[in-house]
Amino acid sequence: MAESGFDMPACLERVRQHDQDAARELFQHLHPLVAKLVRSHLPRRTSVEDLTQTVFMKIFAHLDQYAGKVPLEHWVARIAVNSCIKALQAEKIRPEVRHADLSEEEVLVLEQLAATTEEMRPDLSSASRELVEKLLARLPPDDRLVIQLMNLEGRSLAEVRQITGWNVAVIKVRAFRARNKLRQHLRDLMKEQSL
Amino acid sequence: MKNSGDPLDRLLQAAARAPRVGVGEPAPGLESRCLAAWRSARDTDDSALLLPWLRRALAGAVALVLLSAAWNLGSAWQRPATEVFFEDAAVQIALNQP
Repeated sequence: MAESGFDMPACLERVRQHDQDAARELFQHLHPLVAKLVRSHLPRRTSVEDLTQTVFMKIFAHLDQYAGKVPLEHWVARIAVNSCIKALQAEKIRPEVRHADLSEEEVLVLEQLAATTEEMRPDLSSASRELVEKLLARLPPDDRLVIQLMNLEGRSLAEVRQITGWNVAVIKVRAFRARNKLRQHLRDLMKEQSL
Repeated sequence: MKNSGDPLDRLLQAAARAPRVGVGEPAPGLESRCLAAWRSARDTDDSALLLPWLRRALAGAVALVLLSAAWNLGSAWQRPATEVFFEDAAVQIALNQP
């Protein structure tokens, strides 16, 4: 994230003094991080662009509250993730996943899961990802977030704690429950497939 | 990650290996919209600084009006009593005259 030649503290100071060029530099510096987080935790009916704009407006609005105790990227990540959770909470309907709605590749993924205990074929990883996205859409936002961060992005407990602000015990309990719910949804799909 | 044989674990491991879509450049106009929102919020903030001062001034003015009204009301109530006292005194003097 650290770009050579980008002086973050100086840039922040200039933004606080209403320097527009500094605000532009800060936007360009933070955009990859914000866009990546928003894309990972995006609700179905919200566009990446709209949510990214919302996140940046929050960042600029609360920049005076950033005390510099943690790296700016962590502070920004927390704002981005919380904005995504709020957007997910606003999306009240959790779509049902039916076997009939799955693509051919996703059905193949289910078949391979049922047929063997081997690792998934590499050519099915994108379909696996799509299937997981559909299953995750069934979960409440916090459960979805913890699976996304820990299982799909491979983040450590410490990193999840930093991003979400939850304590380690809460993260572990939430991850355990979320996995159980996800496992049940997957089981239902596999049962439908076997009928 | 170790393969546990659990379908969910295998599915999640496969999903984690899927190639990610690159972030790329910001959408056209996104930067301008964010900066415009920042500018307008900043202007609002500047006017918001006046708000506590205006609020205090309004509270002071209201207190002044109330005090003045109370003072006037007090004077208005006292006047008839004084007048009655003077009139009564005049009657008493008149009656006491031989």
